[in-house]
Amino acid sequence: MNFLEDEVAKYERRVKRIKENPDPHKLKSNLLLYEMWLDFRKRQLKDWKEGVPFAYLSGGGVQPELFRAMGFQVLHLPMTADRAGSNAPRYFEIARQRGYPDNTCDRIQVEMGLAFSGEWPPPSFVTCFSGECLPITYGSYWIAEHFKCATYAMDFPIEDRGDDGFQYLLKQFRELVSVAETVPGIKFDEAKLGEYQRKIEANHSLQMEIYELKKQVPCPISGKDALRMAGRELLDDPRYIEYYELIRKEMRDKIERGIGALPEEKARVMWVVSAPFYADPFSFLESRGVAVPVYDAGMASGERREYVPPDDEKRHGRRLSPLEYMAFTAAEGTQGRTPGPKAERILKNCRELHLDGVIYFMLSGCMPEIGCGRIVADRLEEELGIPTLLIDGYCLDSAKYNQTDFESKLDAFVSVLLARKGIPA
Amino acid sequence: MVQDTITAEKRLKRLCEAGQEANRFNWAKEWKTQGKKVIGLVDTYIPEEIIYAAGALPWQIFGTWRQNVPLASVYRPPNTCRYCAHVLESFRSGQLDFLDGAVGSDWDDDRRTLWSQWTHLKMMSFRHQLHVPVKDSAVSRLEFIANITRLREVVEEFCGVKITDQSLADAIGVYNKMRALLTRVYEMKKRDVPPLTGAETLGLTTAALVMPKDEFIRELEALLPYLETRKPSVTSPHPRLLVSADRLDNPAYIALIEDAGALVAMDDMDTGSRYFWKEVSLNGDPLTALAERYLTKPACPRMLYWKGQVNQVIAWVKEWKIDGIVNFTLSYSYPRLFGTPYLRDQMEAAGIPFLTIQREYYLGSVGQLRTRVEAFVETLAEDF
Repeated sequence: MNFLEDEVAKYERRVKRIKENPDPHKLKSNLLLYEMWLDFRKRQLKDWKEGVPFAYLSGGGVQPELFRAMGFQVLHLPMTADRAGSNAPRYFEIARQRGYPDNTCDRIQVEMGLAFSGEWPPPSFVTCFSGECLPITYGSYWIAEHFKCATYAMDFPIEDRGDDGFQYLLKQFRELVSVAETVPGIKFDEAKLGEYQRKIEANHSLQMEIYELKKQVPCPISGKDALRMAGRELLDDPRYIEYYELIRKEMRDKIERGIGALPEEKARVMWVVSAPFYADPFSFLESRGVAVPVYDAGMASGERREYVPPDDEKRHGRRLSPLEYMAFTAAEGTQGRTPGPKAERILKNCRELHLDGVIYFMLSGCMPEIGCGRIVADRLEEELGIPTLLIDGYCLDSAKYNQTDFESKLDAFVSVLLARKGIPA
Repeated sequence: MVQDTITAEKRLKRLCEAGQEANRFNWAKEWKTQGKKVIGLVDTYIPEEIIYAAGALPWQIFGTWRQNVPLASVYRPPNTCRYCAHVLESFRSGQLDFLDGAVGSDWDDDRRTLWSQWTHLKMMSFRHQLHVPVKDSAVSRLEFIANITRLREVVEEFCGVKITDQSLADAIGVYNKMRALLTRVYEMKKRDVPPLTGAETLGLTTAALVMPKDEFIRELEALLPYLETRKPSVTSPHPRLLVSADRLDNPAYIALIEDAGALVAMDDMDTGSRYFWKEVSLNGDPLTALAERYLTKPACPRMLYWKGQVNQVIAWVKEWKIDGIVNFTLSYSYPRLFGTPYLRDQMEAAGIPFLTIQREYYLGSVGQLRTRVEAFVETLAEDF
């Protein structure tokens, strides 16, 4: 069974399980999310069999909708690798045997192992995006070298430099499109990209409403659900918007009935960077009375709070074309850049959601995030008097995880939070 | 004659030791006594000529060679780039307090965060971060020209001087002279038995990284006639090695290889050949010429054209009659760690013996390193 077939089987099991025995603490909309992923994986398998060209993507600045608008099927490398689950060690082994660093981000190790394993459809195009982190950049560069396919390296400026940065990225997006169009059967349809962007805009409004609902105490969403995201790979699914509408409805219902994700909310924290996907630290925190309403980059995280639509004439001076708008949103991104904008966003989340602390997952090998950790913690303490737990870990390498040790650190942090609030543990 | 030799050897020794931790600050501090500014740099992709043209001393920043970095560890956990950790330690311990400012770059994620840490900790009154594109194309070349134009503006503002095209051309001239002199040194290393060891050569190039260029040029120019006829310390042909590394500034690492019976005849290091290779054109707009030189100089694995890097190394191997390559990766420095499997495969395909050793920034695990190097040298020495 290849990776995509595994995924299909996994989502079929999950859908069946939820239908037969739903967990009352989890969102009902999860069923819809799993059904969407199931259909997407089936579609990928079908496209693979039919010879549809695949584009491998990485990094947040080059989004799936651009490639879908060119006629590619897409595979987002790290986001897909995140779903390797218990198969991850197999892919680590493949990457490490080839000599790749075993102390780098484990998501990238799995991604590379998967790409070389033959369990993913081979790419016709690979994009290397230098903006998020170098393991992501080098991982895709290596994969492009391995498959000797069409590729484009997108160079990303360090800071948001306004119009200069936008123009630089726009020129590169145009080059990327011309390189991609050398792949047989590929033709960029800008109107289609515009359609996707309108869908994203509608979704953004819903996300902001969901974000507002997270301010309620008790929090109407569990930590694990806050971490979930329906990736932009799912944009083609007609239920994409419906999924977020359903979440909003569920949260509203819970608020009306005074039901929270945990029976007695004593404190609330933000979870930052990433998480150990093989463990459930959120349920552990909830068992101690700590809610996690918001995750750094997940659903309604507030990451894109200052949404500027393409027709904002005040900002752009005119309506941007879809490709221009793609460059604009990429230029505005904060991931992997200097910690200032990231810290500002976390501070804002903490103020607006009345958070008591931040848990910063120091993902081993993720240099931009590790390098920011202490800086963010200093600022939270100095500006808001909020403590931060910097906790080391891996997303996928469960062999390096010690549950007792990890939970002891969380527990000690919870004690600090509660003591600061004068609440008995 | 004997006296001349003694004097020249003393002079050479002094120059070769200029980059040592105990000495590397001397010239910068002397420079400051003249009321002039010193600006630190963390990357050899930052065009030093711009700073030099403003009358400031461009000074490549290196960290303490001590093993423990407790002050840096607060902001940089042990699983981050060791060069950056040792540099931050030097900053936090006050070793680099003499710097008036620094220019950082996005050479990799760690150097990017190093700059953020300076900013957060309010270190130095002048800090600038230069974006160096990861590729050389028409579009990225224009981007780099814009970025170094901005660097010129901020340096002008900080130093309170106008950097004219003429002053920039003069600075380029000085740097080209330094490049030409070091190229002559490297030419000598093509000899079967070169007049300088690899450790001495790294001593010279690291001196160039921290000394005022005029003084370095004066010293090296005076020494070159002596070097041309210098009696080599090595008397018989050894396996000739090329060392690949980034931010390797401690000649003891090279001495360790040479003590094992090899001769480091060439390098692929940003503290060595890659620092001075390729002159800047003196024709046309100086910033355009600088952008051209810096984006097309022999690449490090940070740049996304590994094939070009491999071709360059293979060309050096042929020209310097190299028998094998020692690839020193630096702990948690990902550009080389990721590039290594590619470099290894390409070198193996070209029939060039290749050894990768991971190192710390400080000289550590010496016994282990020595054993591995000795084993490698022994396999090569079978042909000698």
